[in-house]
Amino acid sequence: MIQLKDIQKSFGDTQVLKGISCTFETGKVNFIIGKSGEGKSVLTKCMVGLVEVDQGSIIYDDHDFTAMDRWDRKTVRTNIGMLFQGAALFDSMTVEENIQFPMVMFTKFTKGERDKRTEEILEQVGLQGKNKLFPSELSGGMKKRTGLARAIALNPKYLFVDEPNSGLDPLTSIMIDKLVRQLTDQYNMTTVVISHDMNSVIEIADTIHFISKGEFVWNGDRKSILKSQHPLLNDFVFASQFMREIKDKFK
Amino acid sequence: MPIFSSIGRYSILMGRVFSRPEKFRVYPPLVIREMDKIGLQSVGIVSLLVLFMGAVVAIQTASNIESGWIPRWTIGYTTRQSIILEFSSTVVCLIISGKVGSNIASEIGTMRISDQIDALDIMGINSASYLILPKIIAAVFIIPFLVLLAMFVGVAGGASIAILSGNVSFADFEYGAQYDFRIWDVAYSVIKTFFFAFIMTSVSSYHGYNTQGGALEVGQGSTRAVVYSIVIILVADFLLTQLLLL
Repeated sequence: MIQLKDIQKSFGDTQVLKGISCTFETGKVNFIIGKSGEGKSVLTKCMVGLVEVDQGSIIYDDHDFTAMDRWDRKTVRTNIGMLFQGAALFDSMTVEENIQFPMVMFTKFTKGERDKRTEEILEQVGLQGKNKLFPSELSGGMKKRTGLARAIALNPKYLFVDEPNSGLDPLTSIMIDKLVRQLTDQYNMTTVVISHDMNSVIEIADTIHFISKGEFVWNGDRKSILKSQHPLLNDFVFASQFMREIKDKFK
Repeated sequence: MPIFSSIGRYSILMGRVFSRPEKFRVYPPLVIREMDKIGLQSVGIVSLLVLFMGAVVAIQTASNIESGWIPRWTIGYTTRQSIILEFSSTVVCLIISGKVGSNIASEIGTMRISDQIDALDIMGINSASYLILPKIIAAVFIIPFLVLLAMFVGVAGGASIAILSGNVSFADFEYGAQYDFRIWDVAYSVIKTFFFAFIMTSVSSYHGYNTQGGALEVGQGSTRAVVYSIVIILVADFLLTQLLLL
C-alpha cells in the first residue's frame, strides 16, 4: 500500500501539486489520469524519489519515504519497479542483461540462478528466446514487455507504469494492459499506472484518480467513471465521439 | 552568476561520483570497457597526429637554423623537448578531448533524455557513480600510457623526416635527442596528463548528465563538453606549468 499525505510541490512560483492525498491499495491497479501538464508526471517522480516534495509524506506500507536518507531509501527502491513511457532499456545491454541488471546489483544470485529467473520472467511476458537481442532490435511492444520484465525482476511490491500504451497499436496495447493486470495479481503488487488512455482505464483499472491543476478532483472505479457527472472528468473521459457513444449505451 | 552555479553543480555531481558505490565488483569490467573505448581506440589517431607533429617540429626547427653557430643536433633536441613537454601531453589531450569528450557527453546525454538515468536512480543505484566513475578511472589510468606512446612516436616521426629530408644525420639527431635529457620532463608531462584526463572525462560527463530536452540538446551538450574541456585543460596547463616547472 502506498499512502500520499498532502503532497505539495512547486517549481519557482508555479505550484504543480497542491496537497494531494490518497491511498493506493495493494493488489490493485490504481490509475492516475488527467490532461497533459496537470501534474501526473511530477507526482510520479515525487513518489519514486526523482523529485523531492516540498511538503507532505509518501508512505510505502509503514515506511515514510520522504523522511528517509539515500541509503534507507535504497531498501524501499529495491521494492519498486517502473516501466517508463519509452521503456528506458539500457541500449548497450541485451534483453537478458537488462533483466538481470537489478539482480546483479542487488542480489547474490549465481549466474545459474539469474538465468533461471530470467527465463521465468521472459516466459511471463511472452519473450522466450529473445534473450540475446538488443533494444534496437525490438519492436515497441517488445521493448515495453522487456521493461516490465526488468521492473519485476526482483519481485517488487510496488510497480509504476508510465503511459504503458503510448506509441503502440490497439492489439499490443491491450496485451500490455493485460500483462500489467496479470503481473499485479501474480505478484500482489501495488500498481500505479499513469495514463491518458481510456481504453486501458476501462480494461484494467481498479481505482481511478483524476488529477486537474495539481489536485485529485475525482476518485472512483471504472464503473463509476462512466456515470460521473463531474464536468472536468466528463470533458476528459468523453472527449471522443466513441466514448460519448459508449456512455450513451451505458445509460 | 551562472558560472558559480555550474561550479556548484559540478562539485555536487563529483561528490556523488566519488561516494560509496553500490557494488564494487561491478566496476572492474566497466573500467576495462572504458579503457578500451577511451584509450585503445584512440591509439591510431593519436599515433598518426603526433607522428606528423614530430615531423613538422623537426622541419620547422631545421628551416629556422640558418646560423652555422647553432649545431644541427639542435633539431633532435628541440623536437624531443617540444614533443615531451607539450605536444605529447597537452596537444594529445586536446585531441582526445574532442574525440572522447563528445562521445562521453552524447552517450550520457542520450541516457538522460531516454530516462535510462532515471531508471538507474529508481532502482536505487547511484547513477552518477555507476556511469561516470569508470570513465574517470579508465581515463586517468590509460591516457598517461597514450602520452608515453605519443612521446616515442612523435620523436620517431621527427627523426624520420629530419633524416630522410637530409636536414640532419641520424647521429646528430640521436645526439640532440639524448642531450641534457631529464626524466623529470617526462614525469612533468605525465603528471599533467592525470589532471587533463580527469578534466576531460568529468567535464564531459557533467555536460552529458545535465542534458535536458531532446536530440538537439544532446548535440549542444556534446559541443559544450568539448569546448569547456579544452578551455579548462589549457588553463590547467598554464597553472601546472607554473607549479611544476618554475
